[in-house]
Amino acid sequence: MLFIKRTVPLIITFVTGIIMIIAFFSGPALPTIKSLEEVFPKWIQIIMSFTMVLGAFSLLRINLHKISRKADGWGYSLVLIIGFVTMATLGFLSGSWPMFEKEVIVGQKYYLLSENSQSSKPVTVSKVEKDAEGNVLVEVTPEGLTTPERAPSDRLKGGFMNMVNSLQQILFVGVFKNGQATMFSLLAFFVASASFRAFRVKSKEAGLLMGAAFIVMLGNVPIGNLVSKYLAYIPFIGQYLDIALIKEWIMAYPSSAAQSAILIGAMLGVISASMKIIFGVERSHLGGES
Amino acid sequence: MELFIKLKNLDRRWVFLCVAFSVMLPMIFKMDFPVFPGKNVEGLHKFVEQLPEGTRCFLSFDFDPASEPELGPSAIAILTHMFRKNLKPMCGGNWPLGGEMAEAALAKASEVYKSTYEDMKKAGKLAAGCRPTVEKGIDYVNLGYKPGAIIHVKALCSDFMGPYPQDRDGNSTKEMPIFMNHDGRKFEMSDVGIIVSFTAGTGGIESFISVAGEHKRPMAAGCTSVNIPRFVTYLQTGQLVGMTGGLPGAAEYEKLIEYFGKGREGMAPQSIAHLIIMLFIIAGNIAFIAEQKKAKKKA
Repeated sequence: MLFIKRTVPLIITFVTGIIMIIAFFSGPALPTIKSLEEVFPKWIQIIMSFTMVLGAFSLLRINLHKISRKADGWGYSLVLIIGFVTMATLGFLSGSWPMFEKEVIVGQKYYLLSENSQSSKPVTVSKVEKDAEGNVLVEVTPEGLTTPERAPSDRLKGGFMNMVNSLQQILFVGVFKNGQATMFSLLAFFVASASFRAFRVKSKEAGLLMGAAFIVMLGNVPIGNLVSKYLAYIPFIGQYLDIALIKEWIMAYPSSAAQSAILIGAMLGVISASMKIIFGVERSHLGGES
Repeated sequence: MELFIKLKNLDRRWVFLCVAFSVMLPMIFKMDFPVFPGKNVEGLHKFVEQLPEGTRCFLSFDFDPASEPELGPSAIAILTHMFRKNLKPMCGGNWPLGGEMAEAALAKASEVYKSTYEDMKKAGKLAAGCRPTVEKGIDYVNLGYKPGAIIHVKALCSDFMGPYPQDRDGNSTKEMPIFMNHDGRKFEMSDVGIIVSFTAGTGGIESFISVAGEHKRPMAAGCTSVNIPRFVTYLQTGQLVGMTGGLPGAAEYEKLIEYFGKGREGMAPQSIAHLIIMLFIIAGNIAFIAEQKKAKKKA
């Protein structure tokens, strides 16, 4: 069992890791190995798609187990399961609708989706035709109007699929999208509160940091230009106090130099960690000691 | 002095209220601040401007709804500019919700393009081949999300059409005019005029930069404000031709294409909010100094 759980993954990691390194550096000298560099990404993409399914099942299993045991916070798990199942069902139905509504029937009532799929209007199909590229176009008359309009057939939906789409849009745009944006926006409030309480100039370095932060904060928004305009009235040095320019300089040189150093350090760390994984020194990803 | 010391213990709810008002009031009174495009945004705009008509551009939507208010306006502005120059945006995504983000941006950009078509035409700011509307599959395509990030980009370099047999809506890409080459060649990464990634975190523009040696395409980024210092490095090295950073970047791009969108709308609230945060930092430090002086006097 240990052989399957540990040794086999270690061998696979070692062989694929070494092949990828050789393939990267081999060039046209080793065409067979070089061709693997094209094949491997496809395999990885397939494996990654399966890991998403595995992740979904794992999420369901853990939360269902939590609900069955009535563990602390099981109510949150219940909400998660309901949300997960609802969104997945609507997504599957919405994504597979062309299979159920293959043909557009002239004279029948449909719903024409807006371009952003967020709303629809009832229409009656009066004509179906194909354009030069083979795309199916329909001529529809919106309810209560007499002037027909042309639209691509993929924007037409039957009653049931229109309801599915509406529900999905309500949940995605109305709940999920706005919820996520709200969570992210809350950062502004906490940043303000935290900086008021914690950003203290206790040393020269902290003073330098605050000065740079103020310049970047001002230079990043249009009000910085307004401030520069007033600073220009200061005799002798005023003309040099262009907040936007100073900000550009801070970002392009001191900040960029530090970032480059961090990036190089991080990349060296990635190389070192990768080598440790390839050679089996680091084994924590297999679920055990390193 | 005592007042400042008292200020130190200000209830954080007052801070929240001030921030809320600093964002809301400029929106209510529709305040507007003049926007001056910076070097990085101008660089991207100039690059897009000089691309020949009909050039296919790959736009990767590597963000989710959390970053949509910050990156969405950039995407809309760049897409609108591309439509006006008769360039063909091909949208993809390294983030699971990238396809949805692209769909929303494409819908808004085509709406802006259509509503401003006549004015732009009169002003002579449209490319010769521009039509009043843009069509899916001909003028643009949304290829949706594909897993793998850097691995996916690597796969695109060896066979662009391989990972994309269908677009996001399930339409076959094989017959789509946007993928057709005049000489009958299969569409490849080398046919892409520019890669633009709207990046909120990992798996964005850095995935493209990592395999730049293979695709050798010019790149640009639209990133959230917190990511600007990280990506400025790539601008300095010349790996990126330009960048729109955060909402101000979007506002600058909107200014360049003469469109008043969410980016420019957001500049007044953001400016005032920045000022308020700075005032709070200054107030906090005055309180800190006052407290120190008081402690010294006592000693």
